[in-house]
Amino acid sequence: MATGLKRSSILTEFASKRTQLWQYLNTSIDAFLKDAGLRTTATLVEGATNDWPCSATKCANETYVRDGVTYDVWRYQAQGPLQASDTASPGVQWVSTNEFGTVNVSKGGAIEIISDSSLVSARDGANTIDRTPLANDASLVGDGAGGASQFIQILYLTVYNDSAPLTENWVRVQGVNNADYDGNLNIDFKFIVEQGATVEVTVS
Amino acid sequence: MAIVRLLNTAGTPLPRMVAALKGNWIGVDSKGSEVRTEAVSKAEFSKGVWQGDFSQPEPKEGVTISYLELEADFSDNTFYQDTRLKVKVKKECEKVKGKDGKVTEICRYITPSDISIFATNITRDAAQMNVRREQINSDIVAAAIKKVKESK
Repeated sequence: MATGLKRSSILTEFASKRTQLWQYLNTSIDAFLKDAGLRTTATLVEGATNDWPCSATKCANETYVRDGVTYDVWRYQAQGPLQASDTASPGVQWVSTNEFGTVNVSKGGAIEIISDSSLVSARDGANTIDRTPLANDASLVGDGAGGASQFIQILYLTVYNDSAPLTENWVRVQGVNNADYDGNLNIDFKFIVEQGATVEVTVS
Repeated sequence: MAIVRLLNTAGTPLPRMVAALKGNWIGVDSKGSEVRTEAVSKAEFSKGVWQGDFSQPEPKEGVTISYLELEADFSDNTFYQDTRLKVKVKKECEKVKGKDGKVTEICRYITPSDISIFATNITRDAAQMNVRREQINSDIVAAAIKKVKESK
C-alpha cells in the first residue's frame, strides 16, 4: 500500500515536470523562430478616420547591401477597399486615394521599395474574384455595381516624401478612371532603410 | 562650454530636427516668487546638437538661481510641439581683488557639460498634420490626373 502511494506521487511529479519541460521547450522554440525571422506576426492597425489597416514588420534575417552599404529590410502590409468618387468631375472622372499610414524612419533617406507583391481584387460578376497586380491600364477592378470587371486607367502605389521632414513617408494608392470602379487592395511590399534606423507607422 | 543633444526615446540623435534652443535661468527672489532671466546664446541648435555657452544672469539682490530651463523650439517645423528640460545648476563664486584693493565676489552658474533632451514630449500637432495630409492627397490626385491627360 505504502509502495503504491509512493509510485503515485512519483508519477504525479513526473507528469508535472514533463509539462514544465514541454512548456519550456515550446517557449524556447517560439523565441528561436521569432529571432530567426521564421515566425512573424503582422498586426495591421487602422487609423481613426483616414488610414486603412497597415503595419511594418522588420525582416529579421534579411539585409540588403548596395555598393558596400548595408540596409535593413522591412515588410509593409496593408488592406483597404477602393472607393471611387466623381465629385470633382461628375460622370466623367472617378478618383480614389487610399491612405495607408505614414512610415517614420529615424535616420537615412526616404524609404526605398525593393519588391512589391501588392494586388487588387475585383468582383467579376457574381461568382468570380479577379486578382491582378497594381498597374496602369492593366489592373482589373469592379465596375462599382457588381458587373463584369474592367481595366482601370491609373492604379499605382506611391510613397510621398517631400523632405519636410525627410523622416516621413506617406503611403498611398492612387486610382483614376473614366468610369466608376471598386475593389479591394492588398498591399505587400518590402523597403529598405539605413541600418539601425527605427521604423514606426503613424495612422490617423 | 555645454553640449546639448536632442535625442529620441531610444537615445538616437535627431539630426534633421530644425529647432532653436532657448534658455531661461530660473530662480526665486527674496519673497519666494519665481524669477526668470533669458539665457541668451548666439550658437545655433544645428543637426540635433547645440554647443556653446549661455550668457550669465545679471546678479540681483536676494535672487537665487537654481535651474536652467531649456526649450527646443520647433517653430520651423509645425508638426512637432515644443519640448522643455529643466536642469539644475551649480553656483560657483570666487573673490577677486581689484586694483583699488577692494575684494568683490563674482559668481557663475555652471550647467552640466553634456545635456540630453529626450524628445519624449514631442507630439504631433493633429490639426497641422491634417492640413498637411490633405495637401499631400491633393498633390497625389493632381499628379495622377495629369498622367491620365498626358497619356491621351
